Amino acid sequence: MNNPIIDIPVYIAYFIALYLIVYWLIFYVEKRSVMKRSPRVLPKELPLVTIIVPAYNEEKVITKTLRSIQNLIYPKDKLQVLIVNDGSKDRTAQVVESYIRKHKTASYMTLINQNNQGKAAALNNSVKQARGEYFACIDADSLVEPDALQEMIKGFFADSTIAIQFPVMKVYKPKSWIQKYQYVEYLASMIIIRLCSFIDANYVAPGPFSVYKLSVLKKLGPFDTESLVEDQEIAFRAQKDHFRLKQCQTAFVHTHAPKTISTLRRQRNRWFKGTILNLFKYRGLVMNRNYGDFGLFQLPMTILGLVLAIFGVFIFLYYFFKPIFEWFHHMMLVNFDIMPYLTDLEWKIKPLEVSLTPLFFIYVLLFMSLTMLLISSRFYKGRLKRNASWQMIPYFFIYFLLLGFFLIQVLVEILLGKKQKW
Amino acid sequence: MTVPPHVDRHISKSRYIIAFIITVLAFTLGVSLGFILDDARIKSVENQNREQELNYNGLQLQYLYLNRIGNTTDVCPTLRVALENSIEELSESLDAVQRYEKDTTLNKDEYRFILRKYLQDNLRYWIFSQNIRVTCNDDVVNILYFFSNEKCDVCPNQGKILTHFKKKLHDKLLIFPINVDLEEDENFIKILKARYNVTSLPTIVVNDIPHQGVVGQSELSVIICQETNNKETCLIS
Repeated sequence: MNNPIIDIPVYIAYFIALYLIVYWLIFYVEKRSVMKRSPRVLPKELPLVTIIVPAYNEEKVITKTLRSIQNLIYPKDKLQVLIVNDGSKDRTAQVVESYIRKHKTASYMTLINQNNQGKAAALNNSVKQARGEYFACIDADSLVEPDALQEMIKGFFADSTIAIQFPVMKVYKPKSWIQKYQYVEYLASMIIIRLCSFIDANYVAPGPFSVYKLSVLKKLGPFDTESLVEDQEIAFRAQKDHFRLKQCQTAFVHTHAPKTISTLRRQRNRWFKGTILNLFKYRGLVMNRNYGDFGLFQLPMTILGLVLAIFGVFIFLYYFFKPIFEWFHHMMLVNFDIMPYLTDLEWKIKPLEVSLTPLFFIYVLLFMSLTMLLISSRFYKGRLKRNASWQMIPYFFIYFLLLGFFLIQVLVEILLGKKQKW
Repeated sequence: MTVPPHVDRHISKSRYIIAFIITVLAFTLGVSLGFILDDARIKSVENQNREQELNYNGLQLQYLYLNRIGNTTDVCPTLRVALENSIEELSESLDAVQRYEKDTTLNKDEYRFILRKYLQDNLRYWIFSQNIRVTCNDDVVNILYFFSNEKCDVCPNQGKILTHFKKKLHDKLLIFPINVDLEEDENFIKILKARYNVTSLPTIVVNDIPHQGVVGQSELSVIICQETNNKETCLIS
């Protein structure tokens, strides 16, 4: 070993990464047959569902969202749709009003205007007016598939212990590179989320179209207006009270993913910061036996995952910049007389000089991750886009690195106590 | 509507244990691959050693023949080329061995033996080269390079500068690295250190004249120029 200060942590990181992926793979093998099944039927008497669309400056996308709600295969008299305009500065309110006016069938939709108080406050205000047994919330940047609500209701009736259900998320029409990576990311996370459902270890009820039993929501109390990620905060709270969260495998929602690095950075900054603060807020659950697999495995692994991500960035920088620095140093010693090196460009492959152990781990990890992705893609409706498969390879390096950088930035901000509007 | 019941929490111990066992197996496999590679390296180095031994014997035979017939014009150039090739081979494989040595955990002692072997080979070639220099009256610059991997932080700098000159001058310059870390085992190092008055590292001895401390690129260029009669060598250096 060259340098034990770097090598030992690297080997520990290999071990942990290997363990995690082995764990999820054997978990999948164990549950493979159960995951395919979904023999569920729609109840004869459909329950009333309240759908909330909190909107802030969404004039461009909200019409599509409303149309997707109208296309839901669900009796309209069993729907109550509240669009909460959270003090938008653009024409969101007018767009919604004209939509409701134009479509006679859209009479079950109501526009509520409030002063800008944030999404959580918008949700809380609408909970008060909700009449449905179920409470669904959909971000204005997301589109539901027509059968999504039906499938969720089937899920609730098949298993009465479920308190909150959330759909499978897909990136809506990925165009830019960043969006395509997110497409793969959402895909990769799906298999983990699905497996987590078996051990009641999910801690996010994503903004786009999570469906709550209203009774549960009332028991849990209002959405946290202070949290940066109120959808995760409420999921944590539900976990704390031992409620069951489940992903509905057959309900799909398409979400507009950030198109550029800077918008992605802003989104992830909020997510990471929110997650870290939530982990801190609910730290009592971590390594708590009363929370079973969620407390003993999922939460510690989430924390470890964050640590690994940051560590990975530093290791990458070390291995990437060290040779560059060394080359520069070398050139400096010889007064940048590079001619002899140019005439002496011999590329010999020396198999004995390869560091076999790290290479082995990297290939094994890569192979297993790809296997997970392929498994995941089998459950993705509409299948994986053909051109997405080769994008998975750079995904592992570039995208993870990018997320690592965002995470480090968040940590720095937290450590420096930089105030944000939470 | 009623509130759904609380979840029964479980701890799926067996899954964690199975995952752990598989991980340990995979991890062990990965680490043992490193050891297998380490052994393969030692084997390959040993093979190279045997070949170098033969090369050296061959050179010595040629030298004996040279002394026997006394006709230098025929033998000198080919002998020079053969020596140069042998030394190049030696230095390449020594570089590799030094990299392997850093990478090994188990075979530190094994590598120490190998390094001693290389050191002795280098010294043999150094003496040999000096003999040929006299016999053949040629114009090659010999540099003895005293360095240490353990006690000398700036040595790599000198190493890089020397490599640079080697790349430029090719067969006009021969470098013989002396790893002072092996001093305890190798008495010859002590003799040489005393003779050239080596008190600090790195030290380079250019055709019998020692220079202590890192000798920079421009400085070494001047020194090599002084040591050679060949204008061409002087010019490119």
